Amino acid sequence: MNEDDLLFIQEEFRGFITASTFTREDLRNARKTLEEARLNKTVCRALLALISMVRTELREVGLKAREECFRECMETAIRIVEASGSGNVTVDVDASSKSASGASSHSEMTGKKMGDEISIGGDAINSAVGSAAKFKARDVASYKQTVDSSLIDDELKAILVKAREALDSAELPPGDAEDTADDLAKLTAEMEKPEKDAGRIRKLWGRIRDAAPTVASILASAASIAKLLGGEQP
Amino acid sequence: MLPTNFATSRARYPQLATIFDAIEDWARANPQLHYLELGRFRQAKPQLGRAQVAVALSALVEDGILDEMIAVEAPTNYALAIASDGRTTALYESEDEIPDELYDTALTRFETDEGELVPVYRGAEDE
Repeated sequence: MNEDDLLFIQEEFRGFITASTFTREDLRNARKTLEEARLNKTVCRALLALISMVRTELREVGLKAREECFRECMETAIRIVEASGSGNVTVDVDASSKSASGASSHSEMTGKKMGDEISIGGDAINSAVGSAAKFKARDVASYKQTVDSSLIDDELKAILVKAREALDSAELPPGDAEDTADDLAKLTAEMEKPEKDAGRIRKLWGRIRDAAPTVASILASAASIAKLLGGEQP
Repeated sequence: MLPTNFATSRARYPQLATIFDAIEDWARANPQLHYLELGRFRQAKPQLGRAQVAVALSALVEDGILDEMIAVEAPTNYALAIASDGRTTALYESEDEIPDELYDTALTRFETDEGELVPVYRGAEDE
């Protein structure tokens, strides 16, 4: 699933996330949208719960933050269901039937072609869906929120957040700080994958070490990262 | 009290063990409640990932452990609306069953469409 596909799904739910009140009509329309997308049943139910959580918990936060949070949660939920072996999560989007039914009253259809099929197969879990994009947070709080909702184990989550905090206080030149944050995002995404690429982890960690040794040292304190680094330690 | 035997869902989603544990803990800590209100649960367990909670609850519904119901948060105080008997929390199986007017916890009437629909979960045997 690429960025466009995820954006398309997000568009479908934008109105439900940002509406001032989630009414009976909204719930009917959300159900219709899910029904027409022919999503996996567990995902459908989870998405409705997520809409509610994001709306009520981020009531006082900006609409953009709500949307971003929903998107991250949606991706994670899809990956969890996929990982359970409940079958591929396939989104079958037929723009013409949506327009005819009027079900997506809140959504503004994107330029997606009619009948496009968006599918997340088992292999995709290890690739695009787990991309570093979602970990590219603007601040520590956003990064922490994304890491918290990931499939990473609790010990590593704490260390990653500590590393991100250390990066913020490292006072690196702006360009270096951004590059290192990107590398940390990529490393985080790699650590979320079931099959981790040790070579890539070593490469990313090496770049982080060169720019911010303290951050690299914190990362290496995680047993799972240290194991992948092998003999390469700070 | 909500059910606490989640063996089937645990087997399907072993990676959500901490979430199932948290739901069980919450049910045991709140034996007087016959339903789990998402907002209240999240307030008690804010450290849990939203996506994980959503999938865990979804799995429990599909495995026949919980039923998903709908409640309405009153616009006045964001508490769940009260049924017309003035005592019980108003829970509905479908949005079509919800009356046009409900009461907040101070028994002030409000129009349902001014309230926020939220999912709540109760034991499947509590019907």
